[in-house]
Amino acid sequence: MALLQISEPGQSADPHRRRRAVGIDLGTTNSLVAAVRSGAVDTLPDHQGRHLLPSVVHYAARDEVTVGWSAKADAARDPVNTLVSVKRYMGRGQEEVFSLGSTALYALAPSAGGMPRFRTAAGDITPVEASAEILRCLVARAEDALGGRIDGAVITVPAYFDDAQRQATKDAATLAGIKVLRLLNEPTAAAVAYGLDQGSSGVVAVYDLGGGTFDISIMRLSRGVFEVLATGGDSALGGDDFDRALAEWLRTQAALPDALTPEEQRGLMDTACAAKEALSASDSVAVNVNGWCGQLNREQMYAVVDSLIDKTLQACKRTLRDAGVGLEDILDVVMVGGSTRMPRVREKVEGFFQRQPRVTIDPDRVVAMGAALQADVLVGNKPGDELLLLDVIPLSLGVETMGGLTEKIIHRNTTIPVAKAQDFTTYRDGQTAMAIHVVQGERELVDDCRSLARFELKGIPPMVAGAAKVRVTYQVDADGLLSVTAREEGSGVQARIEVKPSYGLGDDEISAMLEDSFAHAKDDLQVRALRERQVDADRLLVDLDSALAQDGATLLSEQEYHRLRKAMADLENARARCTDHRELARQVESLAQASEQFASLRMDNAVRKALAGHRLEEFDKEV
Amino acid sequence: MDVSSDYYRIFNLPEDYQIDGELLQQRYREIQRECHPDRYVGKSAHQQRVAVQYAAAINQAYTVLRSPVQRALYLLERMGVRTDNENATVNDMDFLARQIELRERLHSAVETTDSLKELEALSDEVAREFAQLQTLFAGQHRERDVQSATRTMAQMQFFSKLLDQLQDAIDAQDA
Repeated sequence: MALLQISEPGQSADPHRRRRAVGIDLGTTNSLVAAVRSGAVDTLPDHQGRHLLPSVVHYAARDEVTVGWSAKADAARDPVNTLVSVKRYMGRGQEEVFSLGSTALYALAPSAGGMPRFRTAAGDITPVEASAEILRCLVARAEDALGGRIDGAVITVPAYFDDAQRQATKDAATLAGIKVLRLLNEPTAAAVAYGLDQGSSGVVAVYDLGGGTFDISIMRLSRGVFEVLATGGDSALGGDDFDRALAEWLRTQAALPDALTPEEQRGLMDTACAAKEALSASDSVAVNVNGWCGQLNREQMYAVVDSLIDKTLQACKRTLRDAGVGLEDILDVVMVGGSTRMPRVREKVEGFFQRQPRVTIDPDRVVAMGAALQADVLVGNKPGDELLLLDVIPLSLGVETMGGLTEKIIHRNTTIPVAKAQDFTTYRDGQTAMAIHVVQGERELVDDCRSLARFELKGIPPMVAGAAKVRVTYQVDADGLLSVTAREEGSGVQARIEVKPSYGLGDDEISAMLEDSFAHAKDDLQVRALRERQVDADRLLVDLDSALAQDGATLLSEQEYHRLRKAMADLENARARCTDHRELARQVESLAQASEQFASLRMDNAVRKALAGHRLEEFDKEV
Repeated sequence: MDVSSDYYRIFNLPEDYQIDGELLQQRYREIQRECHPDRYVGKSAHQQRVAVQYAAAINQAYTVLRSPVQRALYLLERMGVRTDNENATVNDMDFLARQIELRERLHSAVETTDSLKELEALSDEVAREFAQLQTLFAGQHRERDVQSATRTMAQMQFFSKLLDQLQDAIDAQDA
């Protein structure tokens, strides 16, 4: 009897099959998905030919969730159950959501200071869950267009997103069942889409003003390498704020009361947005607000929005300085984000950089396209491709010290990945535990920074004050996500956490949500978890097998070689008979550890290989 | 791995304070092409973890070698000097007087409005002196004159900080 080959997610049965990878721009106002097909990159349209998907989710009732255009149409009619611009609330706490405005529209469920939950007809919904709905919708569109399951996605985030906001984005992808190849900064994605590295090398500025966020990135480009020098911005400033300022102006003009119903508020915002867009094409526009009829001209709008645009230019100035480059060094300026359609924004940016900005690619679509190009490379469709993105963290990472002060461990604009350690000691005799409070931000006082996580290192052997040496290590990976380890060096007592932001979802919450969604899909979480661990095991075995074939003989002693082969055989055994996903995970980890040294040796080799050809002349010079 | 300890060896450059910035940058990119986690996306979680550690170590080495002050600190550490000692210049009366003078000039320029020209002139002066100190340090390091090099490094730290403060003041007036 012939056996059917089962293809696991992320591991194709046919190694030569082109993998399906997409780039997703999860935007405040609109979201998009793009892919590389027959060598060309483009955003993927829906059945009606529309590329944009409004980032709007309507929760009419349980199991009655709509996303996109139809949800947007419901916003004015049913504002309380229609979540818009949820990206603004990603990774934020309940109190912050109030201060961000527009929450008058929603009812918030009471919460103990954690992640905000919007009260809807479908139950209490977190911004992460709403974002997952949007992601699911985009993935479905992509699977339809590409004719099969997606192997992985690059999801873009504003460069200025902090750790909590990035983690929330990744959690949303996990909930939507997407394998995240990389979180990519939006300005970097745009630069990739423009292919600016292919021309003469030099420094470029990417000005990205979206619906709810503003980013400015300064990067140095040369064939295939995008090295971000500095990034700055405001993760709560965008076109939405222009609309809100205009709505406020209209409210005053029309002499409306301060307190509006959610419907009126939504209507006013829509009017303001429409007027703003109309003024891109004409000098003056007629507005009708609750029976009040008036005219709004460009000059009046400038008076309202200019201060917001100036705020972005101030950020540009600071970021240029952080990058250590002057205006005269800037070779090109790229405009990204729907809000850069406003002629006033273009005018002011051109005035600032004294250079006509590039606008040839649709500013709404350029980010998703860049993400798709990187996804195509990451997933291995373009072997030998030279694309390399070296990004930075936007905000310093620190730890709270005595007196509520922040001690920075990793400074902003440090290239990622990065790992840094700092030593601390106990201040009381016999102290056996140490509280570690992880914060992000530039300010001196902890209270002025964003609290990312708190954890405790326990079990320090009692010693006199100052005798213990606690090494706290911060590691930021290529997605810009932080993990923290603390270890007492004398005793080896260790604590490790993936930073789960104070305002984020716990792992158990994510599992619960997943379980919930699987209950709907009649899938079994246990079975799925086991299958995922089996894929992990297979991947590790395949990796090691080819690594050993390549370098085993040259880098390992015969004894080491056989020990590793034996450990691999053990895992193969476990893979075949193990039915508990936790046990299999342990076995995978055990082989990973056994092969640690071999992996390091291979990396050393890779470094040497990269420099091959330079060695001789250099050593000659040294002697 | 030797990657985390010997920054010059990673980039295969001679251990000297004077460094070829272009070459350093070029080699940094070549190495990251091999080690960056982006090259290991399809591999096992373990292989990805190792790549993150390597890429981080290489970024660290690159950051230190690129910075005039951090590079000097690193070379001193390699010669066994504890560089967390902030008193290195305390007994240097001439330098102390120079510090006070420069700080006062910065201060009075910040107090006056429209002193952009003054600030820029001062900044140029400080930058020149900072460059001279770097040349001095390079010589002292080559001769393994630990004591002099330590003193020079402390002066470099002061000038580097002062340059930052001057830039802050210039930005404030420019705004």
